[in-house]
Amino acid sequence: MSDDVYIVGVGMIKFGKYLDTGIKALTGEALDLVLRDCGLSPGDIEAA
Amino acid sequence: MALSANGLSGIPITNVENACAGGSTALNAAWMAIKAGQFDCVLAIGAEKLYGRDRAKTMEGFISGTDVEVTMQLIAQFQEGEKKRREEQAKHTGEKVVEEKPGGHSSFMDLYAMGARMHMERYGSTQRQLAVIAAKAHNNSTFNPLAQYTFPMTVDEVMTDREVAWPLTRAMCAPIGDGAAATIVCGKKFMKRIGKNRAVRIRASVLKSGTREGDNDICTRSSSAAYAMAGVGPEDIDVAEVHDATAFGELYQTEQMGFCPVGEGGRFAESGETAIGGKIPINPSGGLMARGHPIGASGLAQVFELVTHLRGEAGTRQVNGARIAMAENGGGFLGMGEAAMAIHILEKMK
Repeated sequence: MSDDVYIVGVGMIKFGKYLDTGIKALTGEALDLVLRDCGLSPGDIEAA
Repeated sequence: MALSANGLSGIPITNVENACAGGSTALNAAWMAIKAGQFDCVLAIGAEKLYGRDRAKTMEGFISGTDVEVTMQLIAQFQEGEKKRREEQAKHTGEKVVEEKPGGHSSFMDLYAMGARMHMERYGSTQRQLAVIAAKAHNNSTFNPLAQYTFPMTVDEVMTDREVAWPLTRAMCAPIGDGAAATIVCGKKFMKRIGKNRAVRIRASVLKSGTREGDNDICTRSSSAAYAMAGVGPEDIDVAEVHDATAFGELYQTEQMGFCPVGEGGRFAESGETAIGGKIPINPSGGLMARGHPIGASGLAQVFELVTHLRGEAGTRQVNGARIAMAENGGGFLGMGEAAMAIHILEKMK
């Protein structure tokens, strides 16, 4: 039963103090990294 | 909002707010969606902006992870008591009372300090043991380029760092910071399409809430449920990432997750068994204390770390032969413990 769900990609940015970087940019960077990690494109994501 | 600005719109998007357990709660939701057969590929992403010019504003935000009506009073009493204690101490030593930065510290540090003191009284654990845990975190972080802090610290340096709320010093507490982390979860059909490559299996995903009355043993309850779901026990876990918002958090969860007997968390850390190379490496990433704690991202940063070890890609901090990994991500405060917690058990694909 628990065998049917997998993690195929992970991504994270270096944590720190980013005074001038907004939430949209932080999110975009992590999204970019996780997609590149597993070779998928935004169109592959069915829900978030 | 953030996803549509980055090319993801139209699809079902749920915003998850679960205090410090937000990231792992999002993963639990993604897991459930796949399990329910509704989707085959789901993104769980967490991002946080905590750092700003107005420190007081940042600190105020933390209280919303608790029952505000109850906690405000408890914290006020604690801080009143602390103020008196410091003034008395200053009279005896002749030293000036060191004023905190305006905005002070998050109320969670006070809550953890209270918990630590109770544990010290009941089980004889020491401030030095907390310092061992914090020093381990900082030393591990020197091998993690993605950590917020990457400098080593000795036990003595941790002990003599600025006091936040006794027995906690600044080095024993997670810093304020920003960050983002993400994971992509999928089902068997999708997996067959793209190939198993560097995939990892989710053996357990458990979310629980705290209780107002009694012990609120949320970590024991959620860990037990996770072990049962995965069909493993604490002795099978090769590496873990736990919620060390303060060093006491790690000490306590080590016991609650069954890695050592209750009351022994401090002594267990002192023995070196939770260091990389020990019996159960805990927080090889540097944990929240050194990797940082951008609230909504932390749970997924833990997953990032564990998957990296299971893939054998953790470089100089690699836990050799890691096959089964466990993450504990807790948030908020209710009764005597966390208000929400999610536990994940992950397994390397054969």
